[in-house]
Amino acid sequence: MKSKGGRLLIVFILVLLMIGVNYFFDKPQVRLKGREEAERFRLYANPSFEKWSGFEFTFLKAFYYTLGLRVYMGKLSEEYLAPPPFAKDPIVRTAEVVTRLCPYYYDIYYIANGYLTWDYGDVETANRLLEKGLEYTPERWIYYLYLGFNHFYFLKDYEKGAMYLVKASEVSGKPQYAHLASKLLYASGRTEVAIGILKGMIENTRDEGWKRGLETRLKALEGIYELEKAVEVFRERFGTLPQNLEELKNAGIIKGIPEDPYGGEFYIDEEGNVRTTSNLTYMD
Amino acid sequence: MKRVIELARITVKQAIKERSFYVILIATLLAVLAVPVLYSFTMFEVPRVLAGFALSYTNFAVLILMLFLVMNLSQTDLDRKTLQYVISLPIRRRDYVFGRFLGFVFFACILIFFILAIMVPFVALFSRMRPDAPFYIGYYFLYGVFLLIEVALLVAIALLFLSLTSRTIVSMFGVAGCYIVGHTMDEVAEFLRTGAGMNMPVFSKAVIQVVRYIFPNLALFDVKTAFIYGKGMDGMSLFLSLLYGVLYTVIVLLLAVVLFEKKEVY
Repeated sequence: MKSKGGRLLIVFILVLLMIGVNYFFDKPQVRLKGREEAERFRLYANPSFEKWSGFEFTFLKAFYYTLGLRVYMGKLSEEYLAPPPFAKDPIVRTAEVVTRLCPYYYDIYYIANGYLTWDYGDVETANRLLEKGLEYTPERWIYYLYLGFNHFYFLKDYEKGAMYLVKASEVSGKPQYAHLASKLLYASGRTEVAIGILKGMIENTRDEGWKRGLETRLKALEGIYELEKAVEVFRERFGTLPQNLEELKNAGIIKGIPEDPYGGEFYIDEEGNVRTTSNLTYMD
Repeated sequence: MKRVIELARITVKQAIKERSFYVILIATLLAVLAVPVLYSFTMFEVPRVLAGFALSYTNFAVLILMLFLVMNLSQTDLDRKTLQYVISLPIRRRDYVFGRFLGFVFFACILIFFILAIMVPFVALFSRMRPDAPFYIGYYFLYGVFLLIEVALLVAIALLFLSLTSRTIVSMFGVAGCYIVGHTMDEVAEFLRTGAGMNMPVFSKAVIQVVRYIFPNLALFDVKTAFIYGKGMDGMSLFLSLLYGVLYTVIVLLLAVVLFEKKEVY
C-alpha cells in the first residue's frame, strides 16, 4: 500500500501488535521467574566503581537504588511476615553503594537503620552507617538521636547513648533529648551520670526557659541521688532495705525528705529504687 | 565580528529547526509529569529529591542534545559541501569556528534556562507540599551557569576534534572519552592517595598524572550536590571553577581555530 492512509493503517496495526506482545508476555514472565528468582536482588559493582560510572548523575543513581530497595522490601513483605534473613545482604550492600554515591542522601540511613536494628539485630552496622552520615552532615541531629536510641535500647550502653542524645539536643537546639537522656539514665540506675550531663547542659544553655526546665530536672535528680545514697547507707548499717523514706529519717541518715519540684512524692519501690509519683513530669 | 555574529545567528536558527530540539521539548513535558510521581515515591526531604531530579534531567537533556546537534550540523556542513562554500567566501576560517561556537553556546543557554524555567514551578509547587528541606530557587539558575560552562567546554572540544578529522563519529567518541575522563579523574586522583593507589607501578601513576593535566576536570562543574545540600558553597571555589572553565574553553577553542586554519576541506 503506497497511499498515506494505507501506511498509517499499517503503522497502527504494528503498534497494536507491539502492545499485544508486551501484554501477552507480561504475566507469564513473572510466573516463569519463580519465587527464588524474584527474591534475588540486583548485583552491584564495587561502590567506588558505581560512583565513577555515575558521572554527574550520582544523586539520581542513589535515589534509584534506594527506591529499588524499597520496592524489593515491599514485595518481600507481601510474602513474609517479617523481613527474611536473605534480605539483610541487599540492605547492607545498597546502603554501602548509596552512601558512597551520595553520602548526604537521608532516606538510605533511615531505611538501613530501621531494618538492621529492629529486624536483624545488626546494630553495629547501623551505627557505622549513621557515623558515616554524620561525617558528611554533622548538622543532621536526627542521626545523633538514632545513635542514642540504638546505644540505649539495643546495646544497653547507657552512657554512650546519653552522650549522643545530649549531642542531638545541642545540634537541634531542642532540649527535650537531653531531658530524655537524663530520664533514661535515672531509670537505668545511673542518676549520678544524669546529674553530670544536666549540669553540663545548664552551663551551655543560653535560653532561660530551657535552663529553668533543666534546673528543675536537676533538682529532682539531686534529691533522688541523695535518697539513693541514704538507702545504700541504711542497707550497709542494717543489712536490709528500708520500707519507706521515714525509716531513713528515723535512722538519722537524712534530716528531711527532699521535695520533688514536679509536685510528686519520692518513695522506695520493692527493689529498693528511689522513685517519684510524678515520674519527673509536671503533675496537673 | 559582524560575520561571527551572523554565523552564530545562522547556527541558532539551524539548531532550532532540528527535530531533536522538539523531541527534547516533549521529553521535558514528560519529565514535568514525572515530578508528581517522584513526589509520591519520596520518603523524606522532598525538595532535595525533586531538585536532584530536575537538575539531573536538565543536565542529561542538554548534554545529549548539544552533542547531537554539534555532530549533526557539522556532518551536514560536510555532506552538503556547505563548509567548502563558506570557506570560499571572504570569511576567515577562524570566524567560522568562533561563529559556530557562539551559536551553539547561545542555543545551549536558551535551552538550559528554558528547561529550568519549565521545571522550576512544578518542583516549587510540590516542594511546598512537604517542605521538610530548604528550597533555593536561586541555586537552580546558578546551576544553569555551571552547566553552560561545561557545555561550552564540550562544544569547544567537539569543534577541536572536528578540526582534526572529518569523521563525525570519531569526534563523537573523542568528546565522549573526554567527558568520561573529565568526570572520573577526581576519583582516580583520590584513589592514588590511598594505600592501594600508592602501590601502583610508577609508570601507571605517571600516565594518570599526564592525563590529569591534559584532560579538563569536568567534576568541578558538577555542583548539584553542593546546591541541593548546601555543601561546598564557598563563593571563591565556585568562582575559581567558573574561571577554570572559561580559560580552558578559550584555550581549546584557540587550538581548534589554529588547526582548522590548516585543515584540508574537501
